[in-house]
Amino acid sequence: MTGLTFRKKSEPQERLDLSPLVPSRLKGLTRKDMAGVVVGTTRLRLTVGDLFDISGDDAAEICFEGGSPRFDRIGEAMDAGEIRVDGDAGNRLGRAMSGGRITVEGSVGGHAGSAMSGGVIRIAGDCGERLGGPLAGEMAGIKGGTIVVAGKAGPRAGDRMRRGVISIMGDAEDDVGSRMIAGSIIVGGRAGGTPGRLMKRGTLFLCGGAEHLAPTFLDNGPADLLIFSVMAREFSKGVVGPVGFDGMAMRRLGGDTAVLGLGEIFLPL
Amino acid sequence: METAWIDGKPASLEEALRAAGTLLGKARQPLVTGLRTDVAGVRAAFLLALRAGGIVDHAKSAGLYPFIAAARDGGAFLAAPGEMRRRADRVLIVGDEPATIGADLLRMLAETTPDLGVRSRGAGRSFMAVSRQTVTLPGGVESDHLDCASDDVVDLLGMVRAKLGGRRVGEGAVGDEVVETVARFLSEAGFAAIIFSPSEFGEIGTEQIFGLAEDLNQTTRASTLLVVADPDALGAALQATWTSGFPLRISHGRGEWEHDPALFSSERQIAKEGEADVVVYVDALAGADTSLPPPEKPTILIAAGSGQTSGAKVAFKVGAAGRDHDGVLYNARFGDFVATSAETKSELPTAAGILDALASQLGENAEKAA
Repeated sequence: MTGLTFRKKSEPQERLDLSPLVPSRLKGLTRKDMAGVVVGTTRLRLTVGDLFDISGDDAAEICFEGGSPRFDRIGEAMDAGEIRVDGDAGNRLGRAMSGGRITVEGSVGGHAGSAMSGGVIRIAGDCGERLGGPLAGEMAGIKGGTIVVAGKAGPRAGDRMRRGVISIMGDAEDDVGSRMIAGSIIVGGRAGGTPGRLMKRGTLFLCGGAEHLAPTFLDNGPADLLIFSVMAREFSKGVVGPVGFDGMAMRRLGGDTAVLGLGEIFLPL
Repeated sequence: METAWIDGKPASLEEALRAAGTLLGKARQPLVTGLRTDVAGVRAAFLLALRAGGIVDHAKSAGLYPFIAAARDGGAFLAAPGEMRRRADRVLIVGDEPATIGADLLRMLAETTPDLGVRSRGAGRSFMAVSRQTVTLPGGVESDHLDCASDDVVDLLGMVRAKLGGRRVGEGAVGDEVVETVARFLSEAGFAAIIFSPSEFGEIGTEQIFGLAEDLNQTTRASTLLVVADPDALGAALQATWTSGFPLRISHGRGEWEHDPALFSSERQIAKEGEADVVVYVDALAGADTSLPPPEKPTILIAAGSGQTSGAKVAFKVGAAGRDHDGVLYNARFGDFVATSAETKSELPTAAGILDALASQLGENAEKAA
């Protein structure tokens, strides 16, 4: 058996909702059934068959050949299996996923990994706003699992994060870790805006420094903690991979005291 | 009097409606925006978007979304201006925008004193501004001014929250004595009113301000008063919420209302990256709107102003609600919708009438196609 492949016929003129194309929902479907699944978001009701050439037969391994910034909701609510996107992806990649792995060779839009509770997302390019963040009206963002972004992240990455690990190898735009409840975020580059604004708990490693720190974060001085090297080693061996704070001398700031104040930011000394 | 144009040339109302209907009938995903109209106009805009499978947003919703997002995510203490007029003994003016877009509100508060509430009635009213510009109130009413740039206000209010909660703070752009002064001013109030413009502080800044009001209510009473540059946008958001369940930025492309604050914003949809292929732009209130869509996308313009047909594929001249015909409009000072009588007698059609006619046109086209 070979993996199921959806090859893009041409650039879509509308946004597509690809949430039905996950392993658990495609398992057992015939090629004809798959082609008839509606993925368009306008009254034209475009189907998979209108937009993709389908090949392969193993629904546990799905590939989108030729991505698009309009390919929304890839891997939504996925609980097992593997999805690979050879190109860009749109909004809400891997939203609410609980297991499995998603790999994107290009960049993705906003809300990637939104409210996910398990599994792994790896993005080779950049990501849009609110990586792992909640959708409008939701109380918590990512609740578990791992997200790794090789490029830079848009504003408010890790907003209302509840649990899990986010690693951003490049820069993070404004206000990474805003309103964090718990969990860990590692930023290899520089953090823009005011990182950790209104965070209650959780940990931010800002290896390239921060543009501005709110005065409601208190400098606790150098923190040469054994746990850093243990964490770095475990991350390196696992799905997160190498992290920027490995071997780095850091200082700790506690906050945001505007709210609960039990969060922490680690910065290079 | 000419009231309709096709490609900039005068046409009869029936011809223009047919041309607009054909344009909408062929569209993949129309955008209905502008929404500078009365309650009847917004209702008709929703019906049109529903029939056309379109997206609906107000052209100026970006200035409103910091409030919508913060209130939805964390809740908010919101007061009506009339209630604060009678209850607030202390008014904190936050940022520079209230002095310009909220001047009427400040004047009303400066000219009155509280007469309700055990702790506030008869106490008089004192003002404090945390802003870069000093605030001048009418009648020689004094306002204490604490110099603070907009960028630093969110930090300052965070420090005030920490002080009120007994938590420590570090050093900020403003000194500790300023933080103490603001904290004392608010915590010793019988009923504090915090006036600010959400667009000045963004989503997270607005959440900080709402959080401060919430913290204050642990020991005293406090609420917030919003000032917005475009009250009709707030009215449209309220109407969208009771109509669809969502505060604007919605699409009926798949046969039911879907909400996406990022994808369905009119700014994004009008721009090149947006998926909308036809724009219906409603600008039917008195006063010129300067944010008409660029001509890259075919546009159906429904406007009360003159000389705005250039670039529009089809244009209709309509009366302005509250000026040329009676209308129900959102009134920021009242904090609710208010019936407004026409100032003049006009033969011009209403925006709601044109939008309803377009929706009917779509229905007729669908019947013919069937």
